[in-house]
Amino acid sequence: MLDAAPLIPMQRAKGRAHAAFALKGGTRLADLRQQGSAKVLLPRVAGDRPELVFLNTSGGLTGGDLLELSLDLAPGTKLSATTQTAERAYQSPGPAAQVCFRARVQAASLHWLPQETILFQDSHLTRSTEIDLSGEAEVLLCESLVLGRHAMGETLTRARLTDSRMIRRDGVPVWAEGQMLSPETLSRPVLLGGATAFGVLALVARGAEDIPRPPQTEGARLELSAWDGRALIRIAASSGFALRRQMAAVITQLSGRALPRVWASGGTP
Amino acid sequence: MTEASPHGAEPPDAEVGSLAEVLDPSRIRLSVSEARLLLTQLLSPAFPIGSYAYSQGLEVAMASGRVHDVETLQDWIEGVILFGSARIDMALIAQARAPGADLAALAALALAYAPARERAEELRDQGAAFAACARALGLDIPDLPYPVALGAATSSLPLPDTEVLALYLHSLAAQLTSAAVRFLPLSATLGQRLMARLAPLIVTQAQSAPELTSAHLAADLAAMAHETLQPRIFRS
Repeated sequence: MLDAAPLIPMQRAKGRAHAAFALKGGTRLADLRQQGSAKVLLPRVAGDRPELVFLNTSGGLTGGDLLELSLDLAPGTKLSATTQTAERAYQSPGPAAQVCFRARVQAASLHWLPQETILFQDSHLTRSTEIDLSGEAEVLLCESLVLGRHAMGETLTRARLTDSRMIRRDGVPVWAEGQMLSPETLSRPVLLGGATAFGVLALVARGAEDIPRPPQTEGARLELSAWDGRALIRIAASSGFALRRQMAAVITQLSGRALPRVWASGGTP
Repeated sequence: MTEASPHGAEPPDAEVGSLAEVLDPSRIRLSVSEARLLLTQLLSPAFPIGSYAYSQGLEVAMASGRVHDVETLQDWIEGVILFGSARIDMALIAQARAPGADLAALAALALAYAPARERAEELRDQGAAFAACARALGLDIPDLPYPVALGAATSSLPLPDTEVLALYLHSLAAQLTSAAVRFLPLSATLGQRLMARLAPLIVTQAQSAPELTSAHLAADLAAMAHETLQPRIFRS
């Protein structure tokens, strides 16, 4: 919307980070590119699955920001990737902030476990997540959304979000969803059923349809549906804290390992 | 009266071949009025796809008391039509109607967007039953998930997308209303009044640009929870 653009251009953050991994006696970094506000951290962890942490140094997302993150996993590699902290989508007059995450997972295993995104009043975010699996590749993905700053008693009534996710195997869509929020949807309580924080987990892997139902934790409602090599879990929660606790319990069970370490230090305000 | 098995329509009758030549719109162009009648037939509750057997998670919302009267039912159905899985269905129908549509790709897309196992089964089984009966009418379409099958079957009808989408939304609203009339203490007359009230919203929504997005988390949760609901009378 050109006519809504401010006369003095605001400072926009751009960031792009890409990391590739190959099998060389274990999963090893093969390529790393970082530019603008996007950074990559590789903390030392024990075990055969390295952790990668994306960091957005601009401190949050506002209108016109562009953040592009991508990963490339060569056959045989295993990676757990996350974000340094909760992402904040700030008030955004004008165009949407845009976040794109892409991953190519070739007969490899990716856990993409970003921390939650907190939508502020009047935020405007467009995000797309695309994961391409090939061969026997598998992915565990989670996404968490918190509506408003709960500690400040904020009730979100005006925010715009288009959040699309797509997982393909050998080019064929396996799981997809497009979550949208707008002032109109936020004004209809029936849609979110009273939840102020919600999240989704998807496991696409051989045998995913047989996972046991994870236990439900306090303040959260969890539902599971699993079929044909995929398991979906949706969580509706009464607070960002309750969502994080439930999400952590499910991730620990599904991944069979501890949470990425930065999850312990991040958190919903 | 014959009822469709939810897992496929009854075998086509022997005389179907000659009927096909009469109705095949690719060989004999239907008038707009005839096309409108055929569309009404395809989307009628009598068309044997077993739509009476599916609630798309509404049964969970009714069993929990969240949907308990005509007002709460209206809220739920409006949510489905404006912001729920109907948006995805609309986008798939419109794309499948487009000339040269890649139906195999749309079929995979439709199943990928299924929010729960039973909804995937509903898309697949209803689509197969729809396609089988459509073929018996001379509409040459393969088995496809329901919205894609509907789009493919109506692609050659001389009707705009908005008309097909409006009648589709109307049939979906009728399916959900009918489920509620059978489940709740809700009279058929109140159900019909609700259907009439939904008309302006259906017409407006059918004119919107379809997108592969939704905002009805409660319906997605309900569709998942339905798998373990006991007792239950619907398949989704």
